[in-house]
Amino acid sequence: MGRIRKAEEERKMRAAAQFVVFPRTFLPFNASFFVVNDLKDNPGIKANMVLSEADESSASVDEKLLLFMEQLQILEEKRAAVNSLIEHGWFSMSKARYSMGNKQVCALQYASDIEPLVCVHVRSHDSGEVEFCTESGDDVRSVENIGPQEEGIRRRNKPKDVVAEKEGGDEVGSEKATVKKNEQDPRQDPLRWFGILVPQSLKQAQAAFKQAIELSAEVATLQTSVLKSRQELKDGLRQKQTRRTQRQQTSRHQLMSERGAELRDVNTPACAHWLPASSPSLHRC
Amino acid sequence: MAGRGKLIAVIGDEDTCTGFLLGGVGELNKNRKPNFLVVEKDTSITEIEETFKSFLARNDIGIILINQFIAEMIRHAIDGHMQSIPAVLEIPSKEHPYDASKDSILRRAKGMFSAEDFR
Repeated sequence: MGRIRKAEEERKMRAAAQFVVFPRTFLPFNASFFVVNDLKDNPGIKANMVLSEADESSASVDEKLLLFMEQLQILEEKRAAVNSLIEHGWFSMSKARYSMGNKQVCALQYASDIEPLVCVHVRSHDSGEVEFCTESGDDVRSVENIGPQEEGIRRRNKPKDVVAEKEGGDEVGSEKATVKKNEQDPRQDPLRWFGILVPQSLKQAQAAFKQAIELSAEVATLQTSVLKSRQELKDGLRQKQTRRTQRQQTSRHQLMSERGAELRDVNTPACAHWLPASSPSLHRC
Repeated sequence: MAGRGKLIAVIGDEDTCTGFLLGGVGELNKNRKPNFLVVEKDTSITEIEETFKSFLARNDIGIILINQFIAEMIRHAIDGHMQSIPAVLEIPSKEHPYDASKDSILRRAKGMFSAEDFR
């Protein structure tokens, strides 16, 4: 009797699984969701609800894994780009060293007052992701600022009265200029540490390292998102594992209870007339 | 401009530090403490580790760039750093090319697929 009931239930489960699990691959998510909702009222489909839940958790874990792999791929590409930029920078620096002299581009040339020209803005999102973005100063004076500061046409033959008026002002102006020259601007372009007229290769090295700095901020952002995705994936796997063990336990309990019921059925005298007469051993038990 | 954002610190050999300082990341603060360390042949591991830890403790540093061969010397300190700020980026050096299998982040990601994670 119990065996028949069990076989019946298994058949029902298999039939329902065809409706609940397989359409997920062919139908859009919402459609399969409605199928599940329609079948909810049927008590025989409860086991299939568990199946669909497991299927959904697997799908979410798959999505997380794909995202994780995608992020890793982008990280690898960006890292390669950063590394090649750094190598290009070193090559240009070596070329500059070759033309300027070995000791002209070294740590001894650093200025005594250094101020950063690049900074990183860190934004923490609610989802736990951290975004790094660089900002560089635009007010940096370039090395090539040679020549007149005033724009437009200059008048060389000025009237005498204007020249006399300006003489007093010029003295003050020249004093200011000397003060300015003496002051060392800490925010000056680091190229000036290595001379006024630096070779082109040093400028190329600077450009390469500036790009590398911008990319390194992106790499830092990607690194944090990779770690976050990894944690999410780990949590998803753990949840899936606990659900699976729970499911196994419940099915084991069900099986045990069914077996118990089966044994009770066999022991009861009410069902004794179902047993064939040629099985005295069962009658005895 | 630079006052509001965070700094990029560099621990590396002379060429790496010079390059990134050319890029404009260098700073000497009021206490004359730099945000970079030029590692030479006679620089001790203790000094590197202390500098790394001091960079971690500073609130004004957002990213730490470190040569991978130097990171190998203080691997335990780098693996112990679990916060996302400051982010630690391992970069190649002239003598030692970048090896992804040594990178702490990629090693953590690789560890994702070990047998222990599926238990």
